[in-house]
Amino acid sequence: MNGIDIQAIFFDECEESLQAAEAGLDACKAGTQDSETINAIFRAVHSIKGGAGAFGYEALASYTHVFENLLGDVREGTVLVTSDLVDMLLLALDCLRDHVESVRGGAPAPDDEAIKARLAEAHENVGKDGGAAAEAPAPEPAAASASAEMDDLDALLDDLLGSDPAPVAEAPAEEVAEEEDEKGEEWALYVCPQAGAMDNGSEPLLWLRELVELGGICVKCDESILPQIDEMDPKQGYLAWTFSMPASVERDKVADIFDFVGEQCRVLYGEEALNPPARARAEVAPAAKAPPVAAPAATSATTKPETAAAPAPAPTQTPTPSAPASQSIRIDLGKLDQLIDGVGELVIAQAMLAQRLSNEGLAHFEELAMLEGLVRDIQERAMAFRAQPISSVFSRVPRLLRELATTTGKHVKLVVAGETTELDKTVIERLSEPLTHLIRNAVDHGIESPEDRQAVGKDPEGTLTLSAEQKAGRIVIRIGDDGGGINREKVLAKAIEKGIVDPEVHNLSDEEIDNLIFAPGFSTAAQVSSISGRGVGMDVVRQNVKELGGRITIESRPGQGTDFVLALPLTLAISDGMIVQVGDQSLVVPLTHVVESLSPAETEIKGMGRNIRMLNVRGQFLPIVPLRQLTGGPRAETNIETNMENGVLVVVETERCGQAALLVDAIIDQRQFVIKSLDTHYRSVDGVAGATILGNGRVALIVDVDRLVLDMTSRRHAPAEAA
Amino acid sequence: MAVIELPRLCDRAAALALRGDLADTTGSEALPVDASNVERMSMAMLQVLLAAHRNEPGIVLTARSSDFDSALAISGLTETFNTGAAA
Repeated sequence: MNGIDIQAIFFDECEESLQAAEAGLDACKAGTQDSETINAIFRAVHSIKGGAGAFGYEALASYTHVFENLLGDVREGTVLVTSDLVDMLLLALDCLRDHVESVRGGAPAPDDEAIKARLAEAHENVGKDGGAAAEAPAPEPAAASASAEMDDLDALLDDLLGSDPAPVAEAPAEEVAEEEDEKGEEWALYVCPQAGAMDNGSEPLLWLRELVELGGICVKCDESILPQIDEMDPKQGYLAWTFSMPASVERDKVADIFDFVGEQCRVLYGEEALNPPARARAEVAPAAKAPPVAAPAATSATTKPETAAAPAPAPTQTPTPSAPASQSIRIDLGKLDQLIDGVGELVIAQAMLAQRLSNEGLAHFEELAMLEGLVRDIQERAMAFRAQPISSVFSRVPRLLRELATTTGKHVKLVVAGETTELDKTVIERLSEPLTHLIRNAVDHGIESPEDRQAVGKDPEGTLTLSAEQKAGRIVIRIGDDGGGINREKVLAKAIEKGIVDPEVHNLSDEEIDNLIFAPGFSTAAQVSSISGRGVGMDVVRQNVKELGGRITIESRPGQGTDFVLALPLTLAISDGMIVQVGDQSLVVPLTHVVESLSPAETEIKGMGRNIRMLNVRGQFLPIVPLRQLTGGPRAETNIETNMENGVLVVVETERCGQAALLVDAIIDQRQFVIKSLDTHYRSVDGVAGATILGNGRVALIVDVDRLVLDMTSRRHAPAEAA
Repeated sequence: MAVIELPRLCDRAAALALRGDLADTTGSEALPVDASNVERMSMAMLQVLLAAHRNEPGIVLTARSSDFDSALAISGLTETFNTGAAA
């Protein structure tokens, strides 16, 4: 694991911490202000601060330092948890998120002076107004103690950052240790930085500072493998330490300190810490002279502290002898993708085997069915590895609403359901932008001003509802507001004004009018606002959703609000498709496009010119697109009538051209298929979205329905206009 | 005897430089080291000082900043530098 890996872990941890802190503050706002919630917020900010210090992100560390000061006051109960305070902490958290993002992206630090001043002022005012926490929950004794410890850590961080240095107070640590000594439950910890521990810029002294802050006392510094000065490489780690930790400190809390260190530091707990494995100088510096193997740093539980200044008790055996088992591991996403690719190949191989056996007349036997079941099971489990709860996207919404409240004056209550619903990581990442725009749009255009709402008897505070659920193999996300609904008269007028709709057309359905907002260039806003008019139109939102293999629909009720419903695939790697035959080739039509299939009567086909044929589907005429043109079949254009007699029409929904009917020879099957990129394995081909391997081992092209229909209809229009 | 003044920032680069200086040192008397300006310590510097302290002719700390003391304290080396050759 290198420094970049460790930094990536740090940023992952930051994201988790930010989410935890936001969840905690939201809980506080909702009235849950117990010590556990407060502690969780504190820990989250503290965790970011620790990592920021370790990596030398001074602006981030400095900001979290100020933030943490106030949170420490809240933990101690010296600052009241009021609605105003929670609002301020939420703003501070927004700024913290900006800090993290700026560090991650290498951008300049955000302007935090104003919020830092507010945090500092609140911190400095502690006690000035007699501020005991009448409303705030009484902190747990451990929390109060830890808070005092954190004050020391603040000083240490200042120390580290080179400002306002303050000595490490050994006395408080002693006191803490003495208190625990009375209980007789302290436990041992062994810390041994490995050879490359400092290669990535990590500083082991920082870890030790954090241990001291937790009340730990260094009872032994093992310098047994420290070489002669002319043989040593200062960048290597030669020292190891045994600490005595108070019983009140949980191992998880200690483990947090070493989260970012990875495998470059051996950390042992309890009995193992008292009997660490022997260290050899060779393992630290291979070039150094080979010394005799050093004796174990501590051989029994009676290890005595070596420092007179810290008469700490000898660490005793902990109640649980071994380190806590980790419930999760971190896996590089690339490795996970390789696994998914392998599973995809397995799915294909299984399909090929089944096809081969079927050809041999051996399709039905128990072992094959068992294999199919196992492959399906493995596939589902492998795909689940990439699955993430949608809460990672939903959790950003409260901040968005706070910002919108500032800019629009509309305070919106958020109701979330189904945030544990999981979907593919890639889908999650690409969902953020369209979702953000939809929410901005809902607040900016959907929800009325407080005055207007009151005038029609509504709560002046609007409500935005976000929900997610898995339905029929897809994820359905609903973004609903309780605003005025889509003003269809206004939308239609605007569409006519923009030339999107022919002024002569007067029979558009409500649904068709609603969908006009997805037309490129459409906007009902009188002027471009900074809220939803940021250059990302609803057409782009729809395109984004479409690129994810999804579909967006609108359900609007005048006076009651509007719901945008996104139906997304669970994954982008495997999808459902209809396998169709065209000439001697098999093609795959993604099922997300398919509306219906039919064998039309001759009377339902109408001609327009020499080559254009239209299908009459219940009074609606759809252009017929022969897929044979994609496969390059002989005389594709002129064979259309012949093909039609024996063929099947698959009605598909397209992005820009409405519905169309794909003419194929036959429908072969409907099944899941593994998507392979054509760009990677061959080159980009117009009208082809990718490829897959069928059970018979042949490659089948996946039809890019939108592109194909768009190309064919525009190609047909061109000569007609020319004529 | 010339006093070795430790810089304000005792990072790895400073430790490497000091190691070179100390390795080239000859003589029989402990080298005086002034740590009064130290604001930030590193494990690398601690290791160099510790190695120098254990080797002949050793070092003696003539002055120490609170930050330097703090680093010794958290790493359990306060007593080591208070006694023996460094004293």
